[in-house]
Amino acid sequence: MEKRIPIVCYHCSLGCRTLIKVRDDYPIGIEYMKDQPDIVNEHGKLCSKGNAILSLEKKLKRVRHPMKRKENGEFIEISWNRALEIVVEGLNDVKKSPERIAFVGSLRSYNEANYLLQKLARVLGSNNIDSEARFCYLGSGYALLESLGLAASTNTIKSLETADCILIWGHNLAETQPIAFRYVLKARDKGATLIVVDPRFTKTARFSDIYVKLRPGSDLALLNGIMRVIINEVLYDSEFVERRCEGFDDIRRIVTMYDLEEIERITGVPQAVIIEVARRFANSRAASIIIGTGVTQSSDAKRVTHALVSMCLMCGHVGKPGAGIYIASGKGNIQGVIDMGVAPDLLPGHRYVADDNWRRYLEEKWGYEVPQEEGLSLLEFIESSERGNIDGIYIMGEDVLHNTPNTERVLKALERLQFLFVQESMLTPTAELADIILPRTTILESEGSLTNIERRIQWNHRAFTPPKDARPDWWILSKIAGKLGLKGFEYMCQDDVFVEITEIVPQYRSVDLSRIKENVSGMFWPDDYNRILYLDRFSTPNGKAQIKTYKFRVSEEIDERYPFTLITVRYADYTQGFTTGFMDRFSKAKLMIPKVEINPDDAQILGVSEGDLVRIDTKYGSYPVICTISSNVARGTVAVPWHMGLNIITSDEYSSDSKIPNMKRSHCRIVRISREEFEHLLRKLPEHIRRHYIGGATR
Amino acid sequence: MRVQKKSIIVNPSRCIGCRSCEAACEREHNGKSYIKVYEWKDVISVSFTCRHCANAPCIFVCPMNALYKDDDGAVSVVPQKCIGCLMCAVVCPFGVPELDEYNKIMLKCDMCSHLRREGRLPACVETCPTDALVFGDIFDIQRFRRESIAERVVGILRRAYEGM
Repeated sequence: MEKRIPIVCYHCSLGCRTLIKVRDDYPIGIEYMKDQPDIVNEHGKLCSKGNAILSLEKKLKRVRHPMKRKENGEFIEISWNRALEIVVEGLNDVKKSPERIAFVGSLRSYNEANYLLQKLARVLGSNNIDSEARFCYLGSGYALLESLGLAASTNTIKSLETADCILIWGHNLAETQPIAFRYVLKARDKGATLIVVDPRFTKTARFSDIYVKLRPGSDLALLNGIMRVIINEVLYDSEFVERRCEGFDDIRRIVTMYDLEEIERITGVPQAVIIEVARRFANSRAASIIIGTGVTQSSDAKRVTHALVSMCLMCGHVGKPGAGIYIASGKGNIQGVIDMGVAPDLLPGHRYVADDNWRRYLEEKWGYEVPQEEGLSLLEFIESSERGNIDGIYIMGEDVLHNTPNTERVLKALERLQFLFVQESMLTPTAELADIILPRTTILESEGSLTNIERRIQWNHRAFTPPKDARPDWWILSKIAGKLGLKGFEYMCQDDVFVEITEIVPQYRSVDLSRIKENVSGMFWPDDYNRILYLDRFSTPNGKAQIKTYKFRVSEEIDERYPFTLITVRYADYTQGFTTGFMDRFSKAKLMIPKVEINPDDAQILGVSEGDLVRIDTKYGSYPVICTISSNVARGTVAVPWHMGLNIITSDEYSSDSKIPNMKRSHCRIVRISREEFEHLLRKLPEHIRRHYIGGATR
Repeated sequence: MRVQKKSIIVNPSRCIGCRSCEAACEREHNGKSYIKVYEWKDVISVSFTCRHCANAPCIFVCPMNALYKDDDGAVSVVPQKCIGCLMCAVVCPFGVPELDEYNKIMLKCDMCSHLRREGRLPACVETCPTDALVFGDIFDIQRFRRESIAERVVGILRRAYEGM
């Protein structure tokens, strides 16, 4: 029997809908939702990740049974009962000192699962819960939460179409989220200005009207420069600022401290361009800002986002059609993870852990005490594990080893742990380190709700049956809680969990379960009929937005040993570590071995030419690549794709305010190497990274 | 021979190199993509597939008459007749035909005949996020492009006129 089942693509945060054709419980293809109105992907169009959603499911070996690792590193199958017993034993040991255990939530799992995981952690008495949203969302999320009151994008993606001016800051939207770029191009066809700010000339920059090539890490200086022009030329919306914002005088004081010449020197952007950007942005009727990983993956993510939001607020570009602030981050359910409070200092409903009233409210609902102190963040888990302050980590469906900077350190830290429990569907590198693997269902094999970047809550239906022993995340977590003797985890199905979420999380209160199940277009929080946030009031306590910017450090000293700045880039047909292509295309694609882009002038000084083998050294390690000469990058900057385990050499220094690692920018040097050394380096790479170089390196 | 009716037209100025068409084609054709995206320096990109020539040399040259034009004008292979001599590959000015090494027959774009039979568009066209790929009657497409260019010119002139 042939069926068509509506699912949500979980490979990026847009949450595109599509139909999976299933014959006798076996997926045979995809059908686009061509005539469905009001979904994020107009006419059901998909990008390469969405088109390859079925083949991506089969990239790694499937975990079919609960598995236990023996001392020699091999896995043996065990029963669910035994697996849960071992997990519960491990968790019981630390019940007396709950700060010695940490939980990692999943961006590739449902709201229900993430809600239950943080509930379990907090009921056990630990705020040590984090997710990889830390690396690509939370820095900006904190800034939005402080300035506007909610850590969420303020408008719908479709609304980009009606913008007059679109400013893309540090994001290669055309390559990473082509479906969103469709709306940008549509706006541009109608005459909108597209401004792209990026240290590398990308496909997105190709379509821009103004391209701003700034020096990596000088974002704050450039923003202060733009704001200085806006204030000096009185381009700001004084009525809006007066009525709805706070802190404008402080910002005026800070930005007038620097003159444009100094900013030109720091950022490398000519004064005329800064003035042009400021005028175009401020004078447009409705302007949108798209913030990408260039901002969110750097240690000053919070400060830069504050400045970006302030610039938007100053010109009154919030709370009207076509105007909005978007954080375009990479992975599936990232907004849902934040909404569910999977963060060491955030509770469900965008409230801080320090908020006494909110904690008391949750304690009343859950019947357990919620810890008051902030927990550790993901990178602090690693640090604490090195120091022996943490006994175990429970990871739900996330490849921490591949996605966390400074891989070797993470590897050592994870091996040091007394126990590492991983709830995972595929045998990922992280799962290979686990003591117990609990087989979970993938998104296509189970149902639940996902929240996309526009705050649209959509229900994903089960496309086909999982392997016999795989279980949904909510089932595993509620069983563990039950065996630990905790009350309030008795659920019959995922619907029960969702109903509890709608009771507890205030933003989700208006969401109707039966409606999102039937209606493919889902529902928006907080109000489906009013999709633009902050129409008349901000969600901050006094209803006014906080305008804020920071002083920037004037110059960074260049380390002579590591003179280059390494920036990471993303390619269209890759999602995390996987290519969307079959082997046929993969072997022909440009991506067999990662290529480093070097400016022609730098290449001349280094004495390297196209196709030479080089090694990139940072403080953390070495990484072999092939050299390609391109003036896409400025002098002193090199660009390498991130997908093939580049995290071996990325920086894990994090900022104290938001604990975001500076993984987008690391200092490095380039050394030309022989083929023998290249192959030697390849052999030395950790095994899971080497797998990505299939055949290419030696060919 | 019938006159070519429909074709996949690529608009390079809208191609963003997202490779959606490749992934869609792979899915519809068992892991083999007949449309390919060519890139220059990670910036300029254009996707390219069989042109389904109106006067297709591959059809003339095929000794087994394995190639034919279907009702929409798609040049397709009859796999039962093909002997894998690759004469079509020799004469094709674009280098489109490739050999399936396992089945020993020629492979090429068929404009998704199985989808067109259901009244749908070829997968690459249906999925293209920026509408860089267009499928339809070549006369309609060209007329549309002429009109949109003319509209832009008129718009500019009108603005200049109003600004006076």
